Amino acid sequence: MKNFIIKPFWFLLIIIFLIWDRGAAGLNSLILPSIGDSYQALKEIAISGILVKSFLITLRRTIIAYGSAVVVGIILALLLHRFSLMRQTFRPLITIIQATPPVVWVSLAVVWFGVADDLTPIFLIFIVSLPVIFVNIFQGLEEMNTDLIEMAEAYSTPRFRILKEIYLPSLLPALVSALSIAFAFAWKSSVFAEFIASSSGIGYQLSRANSLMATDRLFAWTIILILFMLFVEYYLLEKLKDYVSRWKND
Amino acid sequence: MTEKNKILELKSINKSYQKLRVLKDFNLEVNQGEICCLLGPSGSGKTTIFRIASGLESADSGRVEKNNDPRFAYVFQNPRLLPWKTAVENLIFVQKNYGLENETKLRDLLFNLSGLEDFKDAYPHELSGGMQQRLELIRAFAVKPDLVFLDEPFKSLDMKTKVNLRKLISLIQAESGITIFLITHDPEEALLLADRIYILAAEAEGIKKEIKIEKPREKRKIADPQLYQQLENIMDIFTDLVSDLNYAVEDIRSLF
Repeated sequence: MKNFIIKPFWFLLIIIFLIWDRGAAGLNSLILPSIGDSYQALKEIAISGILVKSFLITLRRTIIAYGSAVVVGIILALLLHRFSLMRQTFRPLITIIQATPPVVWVSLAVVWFGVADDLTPIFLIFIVSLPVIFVNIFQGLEEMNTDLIEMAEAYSTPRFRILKEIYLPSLLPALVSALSIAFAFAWKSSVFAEFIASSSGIGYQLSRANSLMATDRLFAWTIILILFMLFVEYYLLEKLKDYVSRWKND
Repeated sequence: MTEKNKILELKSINKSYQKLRVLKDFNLEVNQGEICCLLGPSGSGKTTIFRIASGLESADSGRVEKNNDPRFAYVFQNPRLLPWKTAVENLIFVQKNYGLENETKLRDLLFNLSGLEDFKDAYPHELSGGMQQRLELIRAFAVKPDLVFLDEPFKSLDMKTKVNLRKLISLIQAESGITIFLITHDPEEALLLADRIYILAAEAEGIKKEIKIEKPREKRKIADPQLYQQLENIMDIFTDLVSDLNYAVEDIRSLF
């Protein structure tokens, strides 16, 4: 828990809340709802069950797409690292995918899949997280300490043990940093795709609140999105980081 | 001395890196149970010979002959320890390859001899450079090898650690009969440890001289007249390699 949001941040948060409170007092609640209004809206969506339902839908899509991107990204990185012809052929393609704005992918997805509930968000998350995972793992492989592999081979270590006990542990830090960066992309893309082209999930709820001019709900959903992101980034991934780098210098 | 058994022999080895010829028709033999030392300045091809002899690299031509498929162990110039494994796990990692992972007593002995008994569960980054080098050394002995390759194992170590490691190698070698192939650029080290010293001069020139040292290792002192003479001889060989700078005397005087 030692890394779970540092104390000065709480201080900053209080200041933000104070400014929000002051600002909301002088403005129309359509422009800036008060903390109380937003809390009320949050309570409403929680009690009605929409909160949990939408959250789970978005989470499910994220996990499916993000999980596939992780698997495909790792396999691609291993293949491109191993075979130079594949590297020369496909490496620029990854850069092209990375350089294409998400809006283009969503537009294409709508054309290709229609306003299918799951496919567009899943496609977008996948295509956005894949290069991030790939680039990090690929770089981890390129920077791998080959001296250790040579040592292991010199001592007649079988191939599978070299993979399991040298490749894997040396890649774990790169993998965790890839997971961390890609998750932020995945979570945002998922909401973005749902906002544009889906009839369920948090993104869809945001778009509904937006068209109904329910700014308090917009704030309520945003708070949920941010809280979950903070939980993953500062708690789950932080724990994972501590675990994989337990043998490293602090 | 009884009839010598060769454990390893290099025959007419050639090796080039791009245009740089490092070994030309190179021959060398290592006898069973000896400490054989390869002494030479940087760039004389020592590490290339080490890598070819130990099978880490292949030669362009020539043969490496081994007797009875000996088990090799390696001590690299810079310790190659797995950072995510503790000291004892680093030993077990290589022992497993030879079914020796249950040799707890051997491990304990090696840890005690090297003074690392309190650091079995430490990760490499928690050890000093000298301690890492000691761990690297005992890992080699932990696989019960027939031949240990030592590539400048004392480079960049302090005096105390050097003496300590020398003693350790000397003791284990004397009592176990394990063959040791040592590479160094330090004539003193070679004279104190080796039974036989091959002196390399420059790249692709082959062995300049072979020196045998009969005096028992434990009685050797560098101040001993006999050893001192040999040290002088070695220094002479190296001095001959250095080009004469006298031609510049006038320029130095006038320009400073």
